[in-house]
Amino acid sequence: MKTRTMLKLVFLIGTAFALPLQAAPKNDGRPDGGLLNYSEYGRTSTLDPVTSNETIALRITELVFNGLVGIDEKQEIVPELAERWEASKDGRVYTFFLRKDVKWHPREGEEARPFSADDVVFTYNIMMHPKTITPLKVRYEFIEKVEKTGDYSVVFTLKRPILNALAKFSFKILPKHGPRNPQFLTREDPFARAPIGTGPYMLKTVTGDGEVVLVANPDYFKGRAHIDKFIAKPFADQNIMTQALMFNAVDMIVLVNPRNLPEVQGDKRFVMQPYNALSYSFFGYNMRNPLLADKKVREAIALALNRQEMLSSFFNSQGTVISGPFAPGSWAYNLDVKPLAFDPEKARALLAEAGFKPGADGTMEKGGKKLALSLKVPIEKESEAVKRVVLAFQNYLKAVGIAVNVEFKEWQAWKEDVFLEHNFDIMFASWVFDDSADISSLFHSAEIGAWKNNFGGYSNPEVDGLIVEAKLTLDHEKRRTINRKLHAILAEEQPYAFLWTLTNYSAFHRKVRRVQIHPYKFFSFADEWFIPASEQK
Amino acid sequence: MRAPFSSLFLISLASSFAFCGGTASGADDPVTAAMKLYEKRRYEQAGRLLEDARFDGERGAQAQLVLGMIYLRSADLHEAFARTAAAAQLDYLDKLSKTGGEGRSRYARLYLAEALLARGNAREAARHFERVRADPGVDGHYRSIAGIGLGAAFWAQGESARARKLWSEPPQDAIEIRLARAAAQGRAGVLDAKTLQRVADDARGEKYLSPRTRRYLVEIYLAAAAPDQALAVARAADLGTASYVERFKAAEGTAKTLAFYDLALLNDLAQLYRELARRRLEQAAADPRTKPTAEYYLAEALSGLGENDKAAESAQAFLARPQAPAQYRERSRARLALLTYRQGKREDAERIWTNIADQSSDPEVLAAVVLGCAEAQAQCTKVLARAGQAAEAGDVRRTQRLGYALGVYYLRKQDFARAIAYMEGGRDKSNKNKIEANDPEMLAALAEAYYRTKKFSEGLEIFFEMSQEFAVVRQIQEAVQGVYSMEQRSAGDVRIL
Repeated sequence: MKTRTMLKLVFLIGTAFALPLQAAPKNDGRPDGGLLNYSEYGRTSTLDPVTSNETIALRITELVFNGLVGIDEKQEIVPELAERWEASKDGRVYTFFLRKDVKWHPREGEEARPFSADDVVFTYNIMMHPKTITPLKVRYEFIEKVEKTGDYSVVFTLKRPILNALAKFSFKILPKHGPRNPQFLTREDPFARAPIGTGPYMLKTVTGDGEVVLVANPDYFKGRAHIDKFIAKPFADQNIMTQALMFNAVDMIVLVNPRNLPEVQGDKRFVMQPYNALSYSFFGYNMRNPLLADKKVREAIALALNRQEMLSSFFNSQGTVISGPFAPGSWAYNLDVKPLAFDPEKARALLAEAGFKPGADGTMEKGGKKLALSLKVPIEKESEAVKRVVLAFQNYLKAVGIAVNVEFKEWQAWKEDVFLEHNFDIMFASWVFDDSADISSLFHSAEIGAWKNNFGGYSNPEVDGLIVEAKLTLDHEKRRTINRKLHAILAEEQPYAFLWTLTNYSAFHRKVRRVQIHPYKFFSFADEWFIPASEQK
Repeated sequence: MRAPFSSLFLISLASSFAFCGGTASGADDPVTAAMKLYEKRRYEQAGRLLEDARFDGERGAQAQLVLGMIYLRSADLHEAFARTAAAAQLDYLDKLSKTGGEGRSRYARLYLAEALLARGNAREAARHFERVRADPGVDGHYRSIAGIGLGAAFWAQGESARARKLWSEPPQDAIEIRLARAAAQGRAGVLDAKTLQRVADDARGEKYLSPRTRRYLVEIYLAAAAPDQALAVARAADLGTASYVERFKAAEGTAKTLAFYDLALLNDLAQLYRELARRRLEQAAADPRTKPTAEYYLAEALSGLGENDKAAESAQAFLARPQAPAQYRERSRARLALLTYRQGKREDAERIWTNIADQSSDPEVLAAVVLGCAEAQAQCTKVLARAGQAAEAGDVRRTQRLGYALGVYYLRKQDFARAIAYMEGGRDKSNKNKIEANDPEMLAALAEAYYRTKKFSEGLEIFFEMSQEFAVVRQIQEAVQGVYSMEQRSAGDVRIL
């Protein structure tokens, strides 16, 4: 008896040592299991958090990666890869003490490697390398250096104290062993398409149809996420996305087409939550074209557009016309700046002031050159509403003597034209912002260049100065005052024709419980979501 | 849209016409036009339309009735604005007044004190008024105003001698100080109506009336029982203008500015509209043709003014009429129950509410009951269970008011998640922030719930839209923007959609 018990004990101890250490389950009484299909409007080319600048990748990286800190639904900083931190009194030195129980997602056939301070230092260095193409550099220019002070401790020294410093350390950490090139990261690195992180979900595969399949990370340090699998399904047409939800082909839509809101709201199977409130649509100009470098021309275009009519006709008035570079829900919106009124007479007068005269075909001319511009629109955003907006834009401009040639391009090709080659005159797109109202990467002249957000080449020393001043100040109200000034200047300068913010909702099937959607990142709390056992598939 | 309510109202209005043998006029008739604006919740426009028109006889009574209804809704709405504004402004001003260093505000504390006083926190208000008075960095003019405010805070705490002493400090010429004193004394009831009227009339002759001056005039005219003159002052103002803009100097770069607003203005407007509603409805009730409907709404107006006995009389008079429509009858009973609750007969009140809820499946009636429970802050367990089921099972278009009522109940209980769930459940999302589709009272309450849960951008979106009709919400927008900019913890990300 004694021998048997001893043998059992030895066996149990041996087994315990043989099995890999697993993160604990959540122990919150909620069931594991199930599959969540969600629809994405378009596809992404990269899945890493450094090189991508689009929202599809943002949502996926939120599932796959972690930062040193996170931000919870109460706008409070919470530990993530760092379990605690210290800040110096002068606000210039931040020391992070890292968790010791975190593992990187394992690659096929490999053991999972432990996360350490080396990864943090690596991430910062690769992000800031001159050859890494990323919009993140401008955000982290305030960091002077980062040093590893132990396997699980890292010190960041800042050039100066900044407002809200701790929130900045929510940037996603990459594995040192991840990218092929250990120096800098490009979109061509395999890591950009097959990333590994520490997050609640691991990338399993990207299918030929562009579906991104993610599976729960059994070793997630906060406890395994409940839902077994997420699949991101790309759709080129928002109407079909809604139909997919209605017919149970997907369980969740990230953004409901505004025209489909009544249909989805009327169906009690679904819940709707607001999402991407801080976004707006615009026509962006390439200032490298001398025609568009003229402010009078840009202002004439804005005056020629009846934005309220477009919003009413194509989006059922589900949105708000805006006047400048912030969404109406932003704290930075200047409430005193009103949108330019629809005034084609004034538009023509401005063009005349700029030296244009109508040619034989009605198109304005100056110095023998026609006022003819190209408009490039991404084809994966080719919804019926977008087509109508683009057509209307063409017609409004024709009415004041500006010829517009519209070209629909495949998403990746469009991005290359706009962000890399700058081969366009006008483009149509939307920006989405987090709560920070940081427009520095959009309008500062240092952000002109390949794959940078100031794709139009806009340069204004006064705007540069204000952007820098906003970054340097430690006074919240001063920053507000500066942003109001920026809004007023950019509303007058019109580097974009600022259009509208649409009414944005996500929708999901009721079977998915405990859903809290982060208003910008979407999946920040997805590890808590669950599907009751009886409704899992 | 509150379609069931408005169509039943029209039946009532038609009934009162039938009762008196009158007929409605054509499409351009101001009363009809005002009703259409009222149904779209364009209360300001509706009110101005009728205020500017002249009517005789039967049409006059109808105009008074409709104006009374418009003012009643305006009163409720401004009360909702005041609650939301208080949540944001008190936080914002508190944060500003705690910010130290070179860029600290000298005036945040004065506005904080006034906001606290407006919300009934006289003790805290006094503490801040005293600090303002002692701050040499504050202009003497505003230190005097702080002294008058301190007097008001003492008066509210029953320290009348200290209040009178402060109010009797050497008189000053400045119009704002004269009016601040008169307003405080008027509220306290130490100046008679004739004197108040004279002070206000003299001031109105000035070439320029500051926003602060206008606010005092509204208060003085209200205290002088001259609400029509108070309304004239309010109508002539841009209610979105800041009361004071503090401008800082900057050695280089941008000089910051801070805009301050009078929270008390929203309370004043709510009271003003309720008083106007009472007068118009009393006039309508004097005409037998409009008396029945007027009695119904008069009960609501009087209840809001705290005149419980008179409110009960009106409600009972309405209930005594056999031709009163069933839905309105039940709502009147729910109102009587609230009045009963206020008399201390809490169990009786809850019994009536439960009885009404058990017997009715009409979401508008259930909403009235739940709002009564919310107003009384009563438990109403059975009512809430019944109402919750009805809200969840019903058609969104019919249960919007019920969703709002449940939302308000839970908002006052500080269960913000539930408040949001109910109000969002009833919200017409395809016309998210449009007041034609969503009751602006509901939107204001929802914005407050979002503010309390730090979903600031949702509330700002609501008020951005609402500011097109109600300029006065500017003060809410500024305060929420201020708190949001301080509290947000985002890293600075922007992406292509």
